[in-house]
Amino acid sequence: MSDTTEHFDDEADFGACPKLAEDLNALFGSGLSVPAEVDRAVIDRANRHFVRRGRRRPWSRWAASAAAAAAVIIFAVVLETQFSGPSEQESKPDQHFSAPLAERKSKSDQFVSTTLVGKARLATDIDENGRVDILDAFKLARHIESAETRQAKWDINGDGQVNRDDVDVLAFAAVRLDKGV
Amino acid sequence: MKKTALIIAASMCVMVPVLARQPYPEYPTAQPKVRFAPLHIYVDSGERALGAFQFELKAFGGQIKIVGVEGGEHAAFKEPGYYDPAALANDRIIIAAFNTANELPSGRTRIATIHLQITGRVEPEYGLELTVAADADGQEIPAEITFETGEQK
Repeated sequence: MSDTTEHFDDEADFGACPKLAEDLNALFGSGLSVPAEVDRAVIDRANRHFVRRGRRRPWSRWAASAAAAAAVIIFAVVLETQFSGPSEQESKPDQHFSAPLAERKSKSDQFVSTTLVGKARLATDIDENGRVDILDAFKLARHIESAETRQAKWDINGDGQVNRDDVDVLAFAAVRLDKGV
Repeated sequence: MKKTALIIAASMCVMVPVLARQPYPEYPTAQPKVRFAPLHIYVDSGERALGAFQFELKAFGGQIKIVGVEGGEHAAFKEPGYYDPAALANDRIIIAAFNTANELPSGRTRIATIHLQITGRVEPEYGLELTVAADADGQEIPAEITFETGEQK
């Protein structure tokens, strides 16, 4: 310890030139004095500033606490929703074997809107055996293919033509679940 | 320090019950087992050519949904037959098809495959009824309808 302080001896001669010492004193010497009023004003202002910051600190702490709590709750909710219940994909039916479903449904709906509402249901009983089944569609298809005289009553969908669309509508009439075959 | 401890305690109170409820796949759960099974439908028309058919299938026992319809093995009935789209997600379906071509199947032939979603371990039972079968001229013919389960067609 004493060895260390020996290096900072005030009496040590560093060999500085007197002219340099004089110039340095002129530059950095304490020739200016701060008035006491200015000193107090600076200290007061600093105190006010730090008091304000000190008052604000509890609010910021509460905000941080609230944010942390909110983050925990959000994380918990995300976990809950992510793991609860079977996924939509698992319970979704595999419908790749029924590709023309939209088209089928359209024609099925067409049957409801034309035959059941606008036309007599008996018009779909082509073979007149008292029931509507696939044989009615089959026989209508045969009539159309053989280019026989097409009767107006075979225009099942009411579009003014007797063609394959009428056969489809008739076939859908045969497979409807809510009919009594 | 006190507030930090409070935050940690509050976090534990929220997280522990949530994590305790997570249904991890390796643990047994109360969810009923769901499986998919094909049902192959066959018609035997004997020596007569099969030009048209219509049948109705009803599944009994357990929760069963029809999820898809596939066509038959012969080119004449390769496309899925007509059916009500409302039958999908139902346990009952009516399927019908016809073909006016000359090349028609005879004997025993697979006319459709119906894909089912079965929930639970109950083995379902099926009610299968042939509504009508007809030959190439549209004349009704006697025929027998049967089904088989399993992946093999």
